[in-house]
Amino acid sequence: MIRQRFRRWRHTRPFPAGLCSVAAGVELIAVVGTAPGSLSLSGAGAPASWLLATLMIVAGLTMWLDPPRRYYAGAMTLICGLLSLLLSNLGGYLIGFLLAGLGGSLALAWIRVPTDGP
Amino acid sequence: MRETSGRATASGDGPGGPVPDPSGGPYGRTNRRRLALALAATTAAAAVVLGCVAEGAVAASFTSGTPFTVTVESLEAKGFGMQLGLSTGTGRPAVLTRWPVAEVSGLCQSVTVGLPLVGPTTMVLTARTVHATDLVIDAYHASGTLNLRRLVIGPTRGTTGYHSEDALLKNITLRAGSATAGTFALTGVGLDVRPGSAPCRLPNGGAGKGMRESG
Repeated sequence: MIRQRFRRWRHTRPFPAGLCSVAAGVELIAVVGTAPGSLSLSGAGAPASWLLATLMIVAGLTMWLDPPRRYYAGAMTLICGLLSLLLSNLGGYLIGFLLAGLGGSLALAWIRVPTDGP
Repeated sequence: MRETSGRATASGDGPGGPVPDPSGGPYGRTNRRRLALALAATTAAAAVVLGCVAEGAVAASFTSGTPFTVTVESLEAKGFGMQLGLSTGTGRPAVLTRWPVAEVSGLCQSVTVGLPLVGPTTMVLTARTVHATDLVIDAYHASGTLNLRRLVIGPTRGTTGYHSEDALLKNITLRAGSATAGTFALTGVGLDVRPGSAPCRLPNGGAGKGMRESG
């Protein structure tokens, strides 16, 4: 029952897109350092990473919780991913960028099917 | 941008409209043509950005709360400055080294992070040659051979430090908190992800001799 509901939940929203976007944000933060205290005294690099990562996570959650806004969320994820190449350790050593690019693209590519049911 | 298919059902699919049943929205799938288009556009944009980084047109910034390891086979610099300061990456005291113009060969940079679920993972970036200008590295520890010309040890801008006209470094291992550069042009770039902790090592294991300092 739970699995069926989860399945339905996944199929009614761009689930992989949100997952990739959230994972991209988590990866960027993991590369910069997981201790939030490191934010307080840092210079240019770390706050940019935290900002981009937070935007990616918010965008990913938006894809899940508000599917009609997936285009905004997807575009935001793509732009954050591209900026992270410059501002955040080459996009978290490319892994974060690749996840963000995949997540944003999947969100832009998700479309409704007209009939009920998969 | 809303769905323009005109098949919107009465399930609250409007901007701002509340979805009545959290699991009751319309079904969807991934359109492959759109996905290919979006991926192609992203790849093109990334190629432009990475091309600019490689040509030194824009600056790339590396910052890590976890100190990262840099090994360099040789580094030739015009101008060199070194003084105590705070690392921009971690806020810890570190030796700030300034390199106005630096030619690097055999660069290897690695950072080990504890990723959730996966455990410690090392990401390694290597480059055959690097041309950097206005390079600033916050180092905690350095070892290797350092050759300085016209060295001045004394007060520079209020703090005791070292500066010299040019510097030649061989087989250097650095533990650093951040590296920023005005331009950073890399050739022969390689990127590697390894499980576990496997930081950069010099081919001859040349750590532990020569200059040593710690923040």
